[in-house]
Amino acid sequence: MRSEQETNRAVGLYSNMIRRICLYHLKGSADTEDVFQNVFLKYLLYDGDFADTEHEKAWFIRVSINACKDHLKGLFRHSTVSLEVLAEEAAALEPDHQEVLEVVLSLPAKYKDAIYLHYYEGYSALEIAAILKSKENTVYSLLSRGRSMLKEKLGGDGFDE
Amino acid sequence: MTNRIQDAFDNIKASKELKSSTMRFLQMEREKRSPRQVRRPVWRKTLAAACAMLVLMVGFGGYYTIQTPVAYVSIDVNPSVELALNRYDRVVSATAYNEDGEIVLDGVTVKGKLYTEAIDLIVESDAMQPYLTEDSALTFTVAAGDSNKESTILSGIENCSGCQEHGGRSYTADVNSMTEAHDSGLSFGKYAAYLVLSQYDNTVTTEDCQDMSMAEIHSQISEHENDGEHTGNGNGADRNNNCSDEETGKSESGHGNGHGKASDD
Repeated sequence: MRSEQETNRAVGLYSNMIRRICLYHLKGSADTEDVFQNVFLKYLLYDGDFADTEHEKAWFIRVSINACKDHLKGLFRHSTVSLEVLAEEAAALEPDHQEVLEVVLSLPAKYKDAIYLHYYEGYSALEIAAILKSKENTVYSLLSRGRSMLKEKLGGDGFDE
Repeated sequence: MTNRIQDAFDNIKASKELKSSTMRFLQMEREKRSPRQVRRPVWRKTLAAACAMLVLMVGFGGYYTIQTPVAYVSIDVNPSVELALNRYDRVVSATAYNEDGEIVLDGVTVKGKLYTEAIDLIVESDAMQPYLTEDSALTFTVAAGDSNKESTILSGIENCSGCQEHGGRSYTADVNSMTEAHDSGLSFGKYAAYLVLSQYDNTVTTEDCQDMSMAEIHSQISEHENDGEHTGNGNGADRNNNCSDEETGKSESGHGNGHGKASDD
């Protein structure tokens, strides 16, 4: 079992990232709190060692995505995220940011992890494939399809690979 | 556009409340789990280990008590058999000191039985009958290293039907002589008789005694006693009692002797 110091450090380091993953997977803050507790409880009880912080971060991403999916499964909820979730954030969001988030959130579930991990966290297709335990080619096609949809909806150019 | 996504997601942060409620939750879980997962196993394991040790010690102690011989009975006619008894007077092992003795033990199971039952079984066994003639000198020798124990066993033997019916005699012997007896290939009962005989006749050897029946040894002792050549008490066996009121005659009776040694364990 990990010490209080270790878990507090992890909460400080990874909370924002997990919050963002929850945002595009879940419906609201109550679900987010459940997933937070679930993810950090797993960390508290996880006996394995991490080679470095990158390894640890990838572990948190994978555990968070799984926790979100499990949460939705457990509650027989539809995995489509309602845009109502953004209402909780709306006060603090500029119109442009809100529009981008709405578009990302409106993507089919299977694209969102790849898009988020690539465009926000900066992972390559190979790294994403490792994190999601998926094939590199699958990630490439998810990114490619996802990028097309974003372009279509946001109308902009310059979605780099 | 990458920047647009980054900028948009930058606004999404975990609130302080979410972080602190998560930390509180983790602290509660840690406290809830630590007594069960960290502390309890320590004393539970200790307790379990202590219980296991206790069970082992009691078990081993009990086994040790039951299996440790505290007294010995040597039964000699021509067959020579020794019984080792535990503190509850039960036979823990039976050992033959010649081939005739082996044959007798092959026919009976005495382990775990009270020594009186074991003596009756042995004396009444088919293999023993050819040796139990009128002048066979059935001899019981007891060694325990404790005179109270020895007298208790002696009186037990004297009341055995096997002893009474065949006019057996019972003696006590020094428990320390057992090793010498066994080294010589004799039961300590026969060895005790040899020690008495050797006081009259220093030419007699343990090897000679291996080939002699108890009747032959006793007969020679009697001849020496009658000749008045007695020079002192035997330091081997002390004469005790005869089981029956009728004195059994002693005369030579030849039986083929063997030197084997076997156990019915």
